[in-house]
Amino acid sequence: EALLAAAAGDPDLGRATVEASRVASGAVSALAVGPDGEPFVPRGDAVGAPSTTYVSAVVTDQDVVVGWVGDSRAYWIGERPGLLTTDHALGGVLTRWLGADAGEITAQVSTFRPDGPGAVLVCSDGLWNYLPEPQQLAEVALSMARTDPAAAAAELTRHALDAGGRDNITVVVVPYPPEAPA
Amino acid sequence: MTFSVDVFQNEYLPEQGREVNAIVTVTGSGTATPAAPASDRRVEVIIVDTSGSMNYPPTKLAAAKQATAVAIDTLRDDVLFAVVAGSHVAHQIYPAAGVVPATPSSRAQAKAALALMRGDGGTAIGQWLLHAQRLVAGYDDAIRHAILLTDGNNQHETAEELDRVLTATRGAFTVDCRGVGTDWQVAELRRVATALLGTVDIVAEPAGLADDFRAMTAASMDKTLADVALRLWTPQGATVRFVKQVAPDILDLTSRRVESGPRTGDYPTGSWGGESRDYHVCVEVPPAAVGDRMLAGRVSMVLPDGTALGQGMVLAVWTDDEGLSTRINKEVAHYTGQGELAEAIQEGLAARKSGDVERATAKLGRAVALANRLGNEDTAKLLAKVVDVEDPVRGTVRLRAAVTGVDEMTLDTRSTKTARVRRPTTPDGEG
Repeated sequence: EALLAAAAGDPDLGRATVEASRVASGAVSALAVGPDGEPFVPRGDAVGAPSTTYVSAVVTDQDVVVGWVGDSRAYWIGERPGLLTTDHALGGVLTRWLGADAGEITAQVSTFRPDGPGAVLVCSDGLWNYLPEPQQLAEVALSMARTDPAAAAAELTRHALDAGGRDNITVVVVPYPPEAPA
Repeated sequence: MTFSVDVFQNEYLPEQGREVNAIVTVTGSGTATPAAPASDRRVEVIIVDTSGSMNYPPTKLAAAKQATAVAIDTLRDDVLFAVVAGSHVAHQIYPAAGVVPATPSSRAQAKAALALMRGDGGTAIGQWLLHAQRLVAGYDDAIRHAILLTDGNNQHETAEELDRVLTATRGAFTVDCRGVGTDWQVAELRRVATALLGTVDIVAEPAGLADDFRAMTAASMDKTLADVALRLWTPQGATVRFVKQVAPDILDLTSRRVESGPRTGDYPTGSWGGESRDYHVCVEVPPAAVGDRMLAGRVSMVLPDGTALGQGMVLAVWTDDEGLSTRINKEVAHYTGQGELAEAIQEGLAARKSGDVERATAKLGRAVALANRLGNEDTAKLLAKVVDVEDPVRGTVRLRAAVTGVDEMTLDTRSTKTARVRRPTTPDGEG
């Protein structure tokens, strides 16, 4: 919602993406509650503050603008599939995340102009741990990504579960170019 | 800032002669004047290849980061800037979005953010340029410049895709391109630099990047006027054969003409500081009677608001005195030779690559002779690393058996770099 509002108010989708992540960062931080029931105050040792990763995508009829924090990812699913994000992680350990213990963090932004129709897939590591390669994701999802994105997301989730997925899985598929509002 | 425009030509044509050649030297000097106020805003975008190959060896990416830090430190205060990492997509590194003014704190933040640069993924230069175009959008009155560094082939997009982007980004900003190592394509990067009115060069060793980035950024900071065009008026019935920048390097502008009035066209020249460039203008005029004089062209430099600065006249005079009409203008001959030299090098290297020893020897021999005659000492030195020179005057050479990729690519990349004509006296033309 924050992203929609920001994108509606700012023609620069990169800036809108960053603003939305700032709102998300604040919201996640606000979830933290100290042992006394008072709002959590970030300290050096910040055990117990809820934290999360973040990924967003704005798809226009020209460009794809993604924003992310941590190891949630965005992929291009098309004739030549590719990863659109670079994990904020080193050796499997997150170097950026959203949470009260992280301070105010905003998303890193990438832009991409597709060379033809396809879809943008945003997902958490619950999916990509089992299907990391863009080509694998495209094989599963490309055929229905444009016509039935929800079915494509469900199919991807099923693949991850079949592969033994135990982590929570978040998957969103957005067709490109986007359908004009009816 | 003012422009002076000097024309060098032999204006005499034989009876029925049609082709008029002139070298036009344009010199920008001084600081901002009311007529030509300096752009008070600059946007500088630093684009660094972070494809997976930048990790091999790891010192390459490290050197690129260090060079980027040096470029950031070279930015003058208040210059709007951004750092972009390019792979098959464009990752914004700093600031989070858009551009920010250079201040001590933003420079420090930007350098800290370079840690986000990771070597991963492919190479799609078009995506990087589109990202830079978005960053400079809305700063039309600023001097807009990008530095682009790559180490490899543009393998994640087709040549057609890149061409489409180059057409779409024309005039959006100027870009100086650098290739590090020897795995990139000279022709490809030259296409980018030509379309976006910048330079292309090789940085053979990653260790050389920092100095190069410092020099490029400093040169960009010295530009004071953006979007200057060369305006050429030609008379009724005349045809413009070509308009080429010929110094400091060769850049054919013929196809870049934008009609700006009756028989008048503008050719983009990018940003200017205190500097001098030479242009070769070739106009075909309808023949006139012996003794007739004609204004064959009028050259001036124009700003985006239409202000014209400086003016030079290209003349045609028909004569039956062969002593006059066959006289060769020194400047025209020099730069015609520079063009032949660049062609001989590029064709010779291409022949060498395809195994055509005979043709390669002939072309590179011709290049050696031309470089020797025209005084291109730097080019002669580069040629001597690719061929053994027996006679530099006649251009007798033998191909060297073992040539490093670096030497070959350096020669190719710098083939379009020209030597200025030796001009001991004041400019007064020859005709």
